[in-house]
Amino acid sequence: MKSLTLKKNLKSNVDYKKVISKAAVALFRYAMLIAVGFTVLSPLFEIISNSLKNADDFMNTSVAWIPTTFFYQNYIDAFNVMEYGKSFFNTVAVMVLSAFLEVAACGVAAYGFARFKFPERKILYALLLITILVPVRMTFLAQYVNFRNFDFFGITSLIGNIIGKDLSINLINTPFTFVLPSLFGVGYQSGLFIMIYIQFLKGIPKELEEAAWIDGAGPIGTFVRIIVPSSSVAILTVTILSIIWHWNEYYLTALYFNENQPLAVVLSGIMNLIKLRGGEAINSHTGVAMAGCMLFILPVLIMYLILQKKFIKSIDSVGIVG
Amino acid sequence: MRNKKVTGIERLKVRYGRMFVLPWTIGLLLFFLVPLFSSIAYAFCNVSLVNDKMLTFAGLEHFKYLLNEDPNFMNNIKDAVASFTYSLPIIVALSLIFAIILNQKFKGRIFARAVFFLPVIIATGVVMQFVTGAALEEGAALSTSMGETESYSGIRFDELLVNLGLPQSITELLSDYIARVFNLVWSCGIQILLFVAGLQSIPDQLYEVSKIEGATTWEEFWFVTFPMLGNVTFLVLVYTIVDLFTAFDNPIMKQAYDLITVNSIYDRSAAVLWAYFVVVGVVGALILLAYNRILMKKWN
Amino acid sequence: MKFSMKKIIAVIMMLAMVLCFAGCDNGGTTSSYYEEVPGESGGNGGSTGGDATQDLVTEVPTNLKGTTVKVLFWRPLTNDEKAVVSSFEKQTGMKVQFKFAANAGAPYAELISASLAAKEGYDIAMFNNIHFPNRPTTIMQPLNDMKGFDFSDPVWDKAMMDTQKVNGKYYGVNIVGSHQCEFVAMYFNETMFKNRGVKTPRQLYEAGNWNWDTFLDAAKAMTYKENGVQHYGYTNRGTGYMTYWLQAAGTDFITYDGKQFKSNLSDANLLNLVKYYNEFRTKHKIMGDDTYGVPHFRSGEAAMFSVISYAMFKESDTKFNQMSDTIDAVPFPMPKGQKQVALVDSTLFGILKGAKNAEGAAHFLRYYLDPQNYSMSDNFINKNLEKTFNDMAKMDKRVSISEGVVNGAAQVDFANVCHNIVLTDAAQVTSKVKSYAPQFTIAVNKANKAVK
Repeated sequence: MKSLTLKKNLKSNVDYKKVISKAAVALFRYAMLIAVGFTVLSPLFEIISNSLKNADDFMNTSVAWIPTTFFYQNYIDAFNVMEYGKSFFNTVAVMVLSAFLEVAACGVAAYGFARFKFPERKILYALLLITILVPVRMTFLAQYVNFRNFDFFGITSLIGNIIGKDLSINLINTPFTFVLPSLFGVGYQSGLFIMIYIQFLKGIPKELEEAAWIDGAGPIGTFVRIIVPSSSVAILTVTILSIIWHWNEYYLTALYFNENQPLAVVLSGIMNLIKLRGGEAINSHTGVAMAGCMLFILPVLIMYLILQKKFIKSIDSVGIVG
Repeated sequence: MRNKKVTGIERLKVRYGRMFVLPWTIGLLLFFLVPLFSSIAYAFCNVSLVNDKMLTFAGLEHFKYLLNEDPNFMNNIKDAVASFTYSLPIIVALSLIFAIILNQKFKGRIFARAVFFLPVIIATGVVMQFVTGAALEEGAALSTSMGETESYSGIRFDELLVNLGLPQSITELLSDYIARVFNLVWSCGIQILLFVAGLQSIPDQLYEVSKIEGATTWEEFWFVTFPMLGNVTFLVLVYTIVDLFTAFDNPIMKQAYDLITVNSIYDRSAAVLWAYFVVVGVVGALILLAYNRILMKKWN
Repeated sequence: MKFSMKKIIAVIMMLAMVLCFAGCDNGGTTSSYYEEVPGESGGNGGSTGGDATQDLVTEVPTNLKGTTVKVLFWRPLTNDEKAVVSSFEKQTGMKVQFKFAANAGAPYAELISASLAAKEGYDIAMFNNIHFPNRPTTIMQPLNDMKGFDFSDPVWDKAMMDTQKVNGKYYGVNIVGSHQCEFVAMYFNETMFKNRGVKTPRQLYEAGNWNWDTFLDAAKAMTYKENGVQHYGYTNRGTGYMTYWLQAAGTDFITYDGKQFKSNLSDANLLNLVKYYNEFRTKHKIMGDDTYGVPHFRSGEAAMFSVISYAMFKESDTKFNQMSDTIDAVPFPMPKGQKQVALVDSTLFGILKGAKNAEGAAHFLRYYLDPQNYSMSDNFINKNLEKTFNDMAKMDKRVSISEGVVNGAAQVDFANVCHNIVLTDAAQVTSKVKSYAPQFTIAVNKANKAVK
């Protein structure tokens, strides 16, 4: 019959088209990935290759990507110069802790913004946007003074005036410079995380919450039992970003920490440290600096690779936990 | 227009809403608002680090200076807005394309995702200074700048192109172009992550339905994917706008920052910042409002 | 009679007494500013880590005992410095407290600002010539009348301090030959010179025949091609450092006479000098196209190299001690007929406004900067380098302040300006230099306001 033959022809046409389009898509995809991959990976390769070169390799202009020897001494030197064990611990104790606190605190604040209507919401939302907009480097001076003479709402200075002593707390050099703001949800880039949470929360169907409400769960119960499990994607995203950004933060950290410095600050001053702590014995300062970079990136990279698998898994079972 | 009768639930909601944002508000008061208002105050005062009285009121003096006497300010603003207008759509579009690619199932998907996210791990941090070589020269004993403004222009490309025997002018043009592409790709990392997360939360059922209804890939994108991405796209827009405007290789931010680091001038730099942010606020608000309008239209 | 025996005997006895006391001195420096603290062994150096023949101790007024000196530092302390600091603390009973920035760049400036804004009361901070005049004039105090400093003592490097006076007052101090000095030297590869049979710069210098003309001849003689590798006679620290050549001739893009800054861009002398420098690359071809010379000197592609004296030390990251060839250095050459002067990238220490213990800080600086408290000798790569360093420490000094003034106005980047000027052809270089006149004038006006 005509319609049957027509369908048959169409079908073969469609097959033909499909094959070509699939191939084209795959080609396009791999071309893009290779091009972008190259752009992204070449600095990394440069760092890796530089970290394994010794001084002769650096001076020898014909040695470009592949070092002549596997000069891992750079890594040992970098480990010692950076006091890696101690600095790693400091980083985890302050920065990673702040990151986790922030993930939780921002979620709480975001739930309030996303799901509840109250009169102050618009103003607070505007303030939220402002916190995202103002770059940290422009307000660091006032922040430093704030932390240096930390005053709890003017209460401590009031009491201090009464007693006659200076009660202001000096938070510089303590982990509280990061931990406290994170605890309250105004830590590093918190505004952005709150916005991410808000957008994801909007995607959760209201019926779930209403069901919980009807079942008698209070707002906190709803939050803990319904919202949190359903937002695993958002939580994971924010956690990854928060840890990475806290790990990398070296601007305010340099100001706030004089001793017990996190890794990022140590790395930023590594050229001086190589001279001071390594001195003559160091073969190539550049090589050690590059090795230091690698030692710095590796933990975060590994963490990302591990968490990323969970990312995909949690996603394949699409979002909504019943 | 207030409803005269506020239901019990709504009152409860108000209370609970306030409860959830209370810690954040306290945090704002303790840690953010003081520096924020100080920064605004600096813009309207003369700041002295050494006098007993740090701030002396100066009104609009700094703003007048910026508008009339400072030769760079207006140019920098124009540059910033101009580069912003072409970067924003490119970055958003690129991120979306990459996210879609990364979302499909193909071999080496996990590796590809790790690769695309690398810029986020490297670019925002200290390592970038070593990549650009800024932190390496001469032990930084006498360095004056942080080198944030240098983009990794892929010096290798220069050499490669020269080795290929191309004339100087073309090499320069291509290197510049490659540097820009490089910068754009490196600024996409987080947006890609957000888009991937957004794509992941689109239920598969919708795609199945669209397939049954015989939609082409093109239609599928515009009628299923894109609308569902509305929220995430808004987020990506906000983030990209903020990122483009506050990145330190932006001439305005560089100007403000130079005033701080080189001269310790906090008053004029604050004025630069706030004048700039008025511009940013206006431009950003326009874009976001336009976006909301378009969304409304498409859905209606 | 005038020449009575009694009088002669009295005079002889007086002379004898004087000679006796002179002989009873400890030998070495006779600065009366220094006396040993009673009760201390005044020991020779174990704790200071140096082989100083005499441990110098400040005579610190007893009311300073127990006070604290606070220092804002731009890098962590070396082990030698730590030993010096603790020795100072022990001997004077004062405490010294440091706060560090990660490096001397932006973090240090911000640290100072933050500390001042929070009124922490730090006493000492540092500035280089690239921070002049902004940093000292805005946040530091004049030092001439400050208690604790005795500027009649020749140990203070007034030649360096004079280059950055403001209205006749010192704002920063340094000591002659201290470990914080950076002089510009012309390094050369002695082995390469000897292999080619060319007179080395040291031979020229010690014969009193080291100047721009002989430098150029030497550089031309050392420019050759061998085994397909092009060797150049000279390479520079970077394009931004053509200012060394201007300074050597006694001029600069911006000049400072202690009272006023002047933009010098239309000076015919300056323009000739810029052309002269560019001809190294274009006409005489003694320089290659490199913009950062360290690798080329180390690999033997360049025979001579001008950079500051930090490269003379073993722990420096230039690692000249890893070279298999022998290297040496002489002071940077001057144009023929001009007196040999040391070119300096200066580091000066000043007292901050709002300092709580300026007097104690002054005593600390006198002790901390004194080269006799350090074993600098051990750290030089070889003896010739040490000799050149010490020679330069005693010379008159010149400092380039154009970078500080230009960057201080934040209109244009000085390194960029130099880079562009160096890479311009001879035909356009004059107009290129003059094209920066507006920005330089703005910068000069701003600097003049700062030093008023």
